[in-house]
Parts: sequence; C-alpha cells; structure tokens
Amino acid sequence: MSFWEKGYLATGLAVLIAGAGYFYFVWQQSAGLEQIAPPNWGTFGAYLIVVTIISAGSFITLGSLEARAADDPDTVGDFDERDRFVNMKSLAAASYITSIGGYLALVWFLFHHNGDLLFHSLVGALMIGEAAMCFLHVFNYNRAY
Amino acid sequence: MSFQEKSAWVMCFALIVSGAFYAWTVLALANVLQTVPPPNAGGLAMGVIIIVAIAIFGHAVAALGNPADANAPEDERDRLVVWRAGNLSGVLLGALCMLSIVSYAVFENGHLLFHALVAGLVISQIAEYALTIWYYRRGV
Repeated sequence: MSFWEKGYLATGLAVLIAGAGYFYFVWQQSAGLEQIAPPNWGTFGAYLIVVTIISAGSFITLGSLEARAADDPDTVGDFDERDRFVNMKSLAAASYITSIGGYLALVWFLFHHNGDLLFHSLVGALMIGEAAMCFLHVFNYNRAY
Repeated sequence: MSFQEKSAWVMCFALIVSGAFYAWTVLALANVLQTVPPPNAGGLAMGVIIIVAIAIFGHAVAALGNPADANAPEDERDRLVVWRAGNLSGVLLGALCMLSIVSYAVFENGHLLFHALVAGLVISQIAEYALTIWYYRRGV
C-alpha cells in the first residue's frame, strides 16, 4: 500500500468518524429541542478541526515512517503520473456524488421547507462526497487504474 | 470538432439558458415580494425541461452531422479531458457549497440557502462543460 493510499484511507475514516460524531450531536440537540436543531457552529467547527488534524497528522506520521523505511527518503510523497490520474479520476467521480447529494437535499427541501434541515443535508452531502473521494482514491489505486 | 466537444457545447448552452431562466423567475418574484422568494418548484421543473429539450435536440443535430463519430467509444484523451474538467469543477462545487453554508450562517434564511445551492450546482456544471471545451481546444 503506497503512502498516498494509506493517507487517503486514514482521511476517509476520519471523515466518517467525525461526521458520525457531528450528526450524533445534531440528533441529541434535536431530541432535546423536539425539532430540527439549528446549525451549531461550534460542532461544525469541531468537525472541521478534527478532520484536518487527523488527516494532516496521518499524512505526516505515515510520511515520516515511510521515510525511515525507504532507501531514498526524498522520494516519499512524490506525486507521479499515476498518482495524478488516480487523483483526477477520484475527484471527478466524488464531485458527481456530492452533486447528487446536493440535488437530493434540494428536492427534499421542496417538501419540508426547513432551512436548518437543508443545512444539515448539505453538510451531509459534503461529508459523503469527501469520504467518497478518499475511498475512491484507495479503490483506484488497488484497481491499478 | 469531436462529438464529445459538440456535446459539451450543447450542454453548456442548455445549462446557461436554463440557469438564466430560473434566475430570472427568482429575481422577478423577489422584486414583487421585496424579499427572498421561496423555492419555485414550477420554475425548477421548467428549467429541467429546457435542459432536456435542448440536450435531445442538440445531440441529435450533432450526431446527424457525423453518426460514426457519435457512436465511437471514448478514447484515452476523452477520458483524461473529462476527469480533469470534473476534478476542477468538483473543487468549485465544494467552494460554492461552503459559501452557501456561510451565507446561511450570516442571513439564517433557508430560501436563500436553497437558491445559493441551486446556483452553485448550475455554475459548477457549466464550469465542467466549459473546462471540457477548453481542454479539447488547448490540449491536456
């Protein structure tokens, strides 16, 4: 498994775990209020910070571990032609997934007319798109593009 | 001009016409109501019909010009162009979605979030087709 593959796997898991935490908080708040909770910027900010720290931390840790094991540490983290193709293909497919999530959130809004629910749906679509992008990287690396 | 490039031109045109139509209906309603109007389901449905009609007519005309090219499978260059354009438009979509979220934080208006999200999705889609045309002409 290459450095990039491991890094994207860790980031994808971080998005899923932090996303589950975010929606658990939203669910708890909504249950307390007995209606859809309004956006909580503290929770949203915490989600972004957790994902950024885990993603950056895993890439840094994996990079240093790979550099210790490699014969030529300078080559760790190189982004070659294959990495570029995998990156483009994964991002392009993930953008379609995010778009579908966005369109579903819009159609749902036509029925419930709740801005807070539209906000949470959009955040969910972005999280799913982000996680899909990371796991598509892993899939495309393993499928040998 | 390849069939894929013609197809990108057709979709770009369809999205611009449909997006402009929807924006015009929303702005006209906003002028009357003097506030951000609620989602216009009829306008959205009309926009989708416009896209489908232009896409069917445009692709039929493009295919009639060169049927063999229209039936040819995508080659390596076509795939690269689509991935590259989709990659950049995906980044744009993410940025516009985040801007929509920030707009909700500032104005706390669900209708505005709805219209901002529609605009973000349409703009990123137009950007994808415009970039496809750009890469076909400039090379990848």
